[in-house]
Amino acid sequence: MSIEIRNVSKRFGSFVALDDVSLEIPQGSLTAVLGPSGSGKSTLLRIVAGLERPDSGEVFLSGEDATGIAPQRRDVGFVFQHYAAFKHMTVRDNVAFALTIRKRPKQEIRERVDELLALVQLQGFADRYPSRLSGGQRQRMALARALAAKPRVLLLDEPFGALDARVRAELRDWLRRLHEEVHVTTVFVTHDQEEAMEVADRVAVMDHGGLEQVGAPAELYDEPASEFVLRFVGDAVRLGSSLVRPHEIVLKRWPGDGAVEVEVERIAVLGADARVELVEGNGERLMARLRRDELEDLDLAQGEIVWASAEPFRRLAGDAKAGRPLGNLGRDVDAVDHGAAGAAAAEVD
Amino acid sequence: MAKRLGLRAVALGYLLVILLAPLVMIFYRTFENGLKPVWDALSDPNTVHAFKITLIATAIAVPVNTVFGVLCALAIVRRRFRGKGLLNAFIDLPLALSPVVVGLALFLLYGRTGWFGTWFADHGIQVLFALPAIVLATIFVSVPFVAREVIPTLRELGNEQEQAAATLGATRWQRFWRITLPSIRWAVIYGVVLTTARCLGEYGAVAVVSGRVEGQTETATLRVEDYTLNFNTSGAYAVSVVLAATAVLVLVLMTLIKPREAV
Repeated sequence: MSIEIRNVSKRFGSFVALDDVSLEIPQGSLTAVLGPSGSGKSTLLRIVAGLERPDSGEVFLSGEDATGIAPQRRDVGFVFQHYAAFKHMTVRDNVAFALTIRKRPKQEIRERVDELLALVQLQGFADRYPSRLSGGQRQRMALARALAAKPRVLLLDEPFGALDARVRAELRDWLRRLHEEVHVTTVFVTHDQEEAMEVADRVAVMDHGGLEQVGAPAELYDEPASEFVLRFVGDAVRLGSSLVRPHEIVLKRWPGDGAVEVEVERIAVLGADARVELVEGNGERLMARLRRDELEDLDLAQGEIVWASAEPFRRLAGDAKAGRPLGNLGRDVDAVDHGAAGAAAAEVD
Repeated sequence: MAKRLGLRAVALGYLLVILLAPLVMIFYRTFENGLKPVWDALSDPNTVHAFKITLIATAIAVPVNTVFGVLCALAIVRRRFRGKGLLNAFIDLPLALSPVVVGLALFLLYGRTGWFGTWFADHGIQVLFALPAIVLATIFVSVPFVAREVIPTLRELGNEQEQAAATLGATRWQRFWRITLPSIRWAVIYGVVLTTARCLGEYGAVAVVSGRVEGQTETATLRVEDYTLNFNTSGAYAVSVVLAATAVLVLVLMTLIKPREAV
């Protein structure tokens, strides 16, 4: 089922959680909604599920207006950060809940629950109560429960947020594989950019109740539509007046157009790459990432003066994907400056 | 260690003197002269009738206040509305107000010239000095217990489980019966027990509105007073013992059936 969010706004008192957000999620995709806390990402998900009502705007599910429809009639599966396990029911009864409610025959429920428990690898735990499961097991139970009635959309709200790092990594992989198997349209909310990039095939970046950019993980990294996306997705450093990725900085021993004079403060070798810490004349610090062979060719030493430039010409050069003119996006760096610096850098090479 | 022992001794000693000693005294005095006077007092038709009245009032007040208490708790915890703070405070009114005052208020309200009394009089329904007044007084004084037990449990429960149930297709009604009620069941049961105990023991408000006519509008507690005033001490003891034993039995049952984690 496809999801279409049209001009949705939502306030909680004086706090603007969502400000005129429009987003389309195609049938069968695995989309991450990425943003810092308070960016409105969970509210957006809850509006899709019907757990929250938008102040204005509409939600379309499979092309039908679902804005006023109660959550129990939307045919969505929802997974909560803190599992929301039914504590007074066994794992089997938890997973069976949606089917019991729908008064399916006992035999069918039994078979479906067994199948789901196998899918989430909880076969031996059917008769346990949730209080006797680990966090990861509880979340897998919650996933099985959400999938039981074959929902048309699976929504996950920070599903791995409460788990430790190792279990998180395991469940990420597992979610990815599950999606390949089941192919249900899936949207998950996260504040972890690595998680979003690794699991999703499309990422929607949100900040301050607005949508910053939607695209494939590589697109967000290579062509961020705003300074926020650039900073939030991967590392970014400031060189002169523009923002670049550390690995895009080029160091030269002679001055060039647009190149900034910097002093080498420290060199750290990290396997195949090296990190070079630099200071500009005005005291501004930045970090460049070079390949080891580049570093050896330069033959740098601590305290030496070099000239740094970058190739940000692809970046912030009027991106159409965000659907917003760049003029609105610049926060503390003027978009015009990027263009100028980009053009200058391009000329050097 | 000595400090903790001291604390324990104080707590136990206090309970012993204040709670247990009077209870033991009652049991002791009741059976001092054997079972015969006890049996005579309890088999007296007026005593039997008094217990019947108490049981009827309790049987009506407990379910009414259970339903009301759960609804109130849900409204207070889950809903936002004007006057919520007022409702929350009003639930406790019967705890703060002396039952005698409650009785007097009902007396005025349902009396011949009271707001409601006139209507009932016009329709030929006797409220005061009859069963309806006894039931009303019992309901009034036992309002807070279920709501007071359920409110903190509901707060702690949160509403995520219900939201999960909603996304799984459960209607409001199904969510209540399958998720909310099972989750708060111990609080409800505990509230019911306290309500029952309060109803059985109610004296002050009922004393004012019942008219306390022997064999007609006398409840068990009023019967105790009746016996006392007539110098039939063994009768008073016998009825008291039944009331006390019921209370103790209820508490013991409670402790036995309540699961460990809920204590």
